[in-house]
Amino acid sequence: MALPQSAYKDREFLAVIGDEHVTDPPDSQKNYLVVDSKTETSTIEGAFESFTRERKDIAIVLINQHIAEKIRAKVDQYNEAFPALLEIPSKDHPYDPEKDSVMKRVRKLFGE
Amino acid sequence: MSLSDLHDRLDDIWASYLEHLDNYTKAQKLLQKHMIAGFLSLARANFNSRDGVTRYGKDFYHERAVASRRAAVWTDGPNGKVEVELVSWREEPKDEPASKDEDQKDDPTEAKQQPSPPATPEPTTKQSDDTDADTSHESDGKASANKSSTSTTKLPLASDPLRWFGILIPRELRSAHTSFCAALDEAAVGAINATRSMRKCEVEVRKLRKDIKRAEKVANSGKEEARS
Repeated sequence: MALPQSAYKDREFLAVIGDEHVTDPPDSQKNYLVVDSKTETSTIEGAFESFTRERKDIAIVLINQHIAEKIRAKVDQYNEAFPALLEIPSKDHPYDPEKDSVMKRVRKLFGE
Repeated sequence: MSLSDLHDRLDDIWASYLEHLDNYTKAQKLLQKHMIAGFLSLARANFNSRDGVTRYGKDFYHERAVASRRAAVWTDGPNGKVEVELVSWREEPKDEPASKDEDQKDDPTEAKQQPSPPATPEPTTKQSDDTDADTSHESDGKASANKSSTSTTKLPLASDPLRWFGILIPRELRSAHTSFCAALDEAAVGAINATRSMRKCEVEVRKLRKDIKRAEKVANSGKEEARS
């Protein structure tokens, strides 16, 4: 089934949830969250909810994989077409396919 | 559709699913490669900073920064697949958003107001290994290509992250910028599009599996009836 145009026509920004090495400065409205050791999980969850459900101008959400681990349940449950979600490596945490939600879905589909 | 047709269709979808999975894995590897190169160049830039104290990071961010990359979503047709691509703020996306026109009108005036920066002399740091030299040449090449293509229009300060760090920025910082841009433009977009295609295949696989189960049940019950 084709995706309705309303699902993506206004989406043009990238949002980032990452450590200070990855996050980009914002546009007029904040489209990033800098996460450090003091950032609470509820704050990360709030930003994730905001970028994925509330904001209608976000097309892609980039999240550091080690931060996605903190809100893994939410990341794994997310299955909307837009905004597209991508787990990316960070400076101190290389990409681990075992933790990636996409690869988890693949394993599930293969019946593992 | 017969049972064998359903199995054939499922095989076809598995084949395309595996192809998309391969694309995703490759894109993730490429993403990691670009990110590593970017972080390495950034560390070198910090190490070689002029005063030895400067750390290229949040302290230099422009307070009125605006996005230099924008996602453009386009589709092949009413039933065609939806693809995402990243466009620089100067380029025209395929599906023009309404606000874009205003941006385009503003750009030339903004560009005219920006003074052209003086030519930046390259720092004469020795390159110890070949890979480093390659990266810097590549970034120089890209920088010069950008210069030639946009010689008449300069990016506004808010849109050009490299200019936030001053005029005489080290070559390594340019290299880091090039790597991070490549990570987004080439790898991240590839991974996202592969993920989207995989999701589509997953839905079809689940649907076909159900259809096959149903068809097998019907076939089995038909056999039992024939035996009795």
